[in-house]
Amino acid sequence: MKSVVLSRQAHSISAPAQAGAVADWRDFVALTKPRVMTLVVFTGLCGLLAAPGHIHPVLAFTAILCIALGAGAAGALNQWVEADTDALMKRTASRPLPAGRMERQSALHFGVGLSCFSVILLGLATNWVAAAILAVSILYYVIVYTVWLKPRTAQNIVIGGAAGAFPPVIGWAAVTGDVSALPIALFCLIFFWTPPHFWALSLFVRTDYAKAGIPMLPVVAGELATRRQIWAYTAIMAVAAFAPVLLRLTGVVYGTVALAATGLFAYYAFRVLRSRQSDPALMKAERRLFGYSVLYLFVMFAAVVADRWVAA
Amino acid sequence: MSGSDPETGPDAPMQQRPPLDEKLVRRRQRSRALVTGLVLGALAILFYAIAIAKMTGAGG
Repeated sequence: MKSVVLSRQAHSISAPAQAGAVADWRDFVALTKPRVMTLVVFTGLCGLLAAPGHIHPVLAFTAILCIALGAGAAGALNQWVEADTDALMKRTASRPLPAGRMERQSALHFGVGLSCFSVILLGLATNWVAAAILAVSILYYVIVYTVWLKPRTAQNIVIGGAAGAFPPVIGWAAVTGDVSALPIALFCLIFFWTPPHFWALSLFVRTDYAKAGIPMLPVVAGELATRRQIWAYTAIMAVAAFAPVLLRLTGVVYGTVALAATGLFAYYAFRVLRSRQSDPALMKAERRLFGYSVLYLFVMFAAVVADRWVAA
Repeated sequence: MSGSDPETGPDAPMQQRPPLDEKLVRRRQRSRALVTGLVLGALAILFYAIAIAKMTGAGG
């Protein structure tokens, strides 16, 4: 295996915030990574809608709001930790901290405050099982993924993927107060979907990651190994996608959608496996897999909800 | 050399001719205050609605 020595910049390289800088409110919104939040909110909502039982619409709205705020808080703390590495990557250099539009302490206070608020509000509005899972997901994303795994190992995405897999479990627990087989299956689906999704992205932005010293798989192990890993994890993800059908947790609606959507995912992953394109600008197969992977998760979770409603 | 211009010299009150940066800071402070106010108002309504929903649930 090719060994690559990755050096992380020891000192602060992000643009210093102006003394007494007053960040615009839009900068605080940007700190929460609103685009990433869309998928988090949707999967959380699907977990909530698929759960058996009834929840008052106001409490359901509050639960989804708390999941969104918790994800936003984790995003803010992630940007607080990674301000220096973000400054080195074209994709992230314009974020409020590396661009010097906000003081780091403001981001820290905002992230911690929002974390505590979202967890406490979720506990008071629904139940403390859901609140505890939300707290674990925030801590997992910030401490286990951002601080510990991401700068140290090429397996960062594999283990760190669990952080993004919690929302459907939280949504389910908000209704039922416990966690059963279906939310665990949905957790596994997101968990095994994350590596092919992120590695497809990291193939065509690998120069950015290399520049920032982040040991993403294409940087450390090379492109060919990454393409093989994408294919291998797609196969495992397919097993996770069919698990709800095999375990009789869902019916024919989900099964049909899962077959078609996962088949198409496998087709795109296979094209990535066969591709030998090394110019990021010309990586069509990789971009297509990345784009489709986002749609895939939306479709699969919508299918779970549709299936449960048809069965009800 | 009879001292500085009272409008622009060191003794001039800061509010008279604020520099551009200060204007920007004031504008951001105002917009942040407005957004904070709106968020707090929305939260007050939400907490009220949660209380009603919880009471309805407890009663039902």
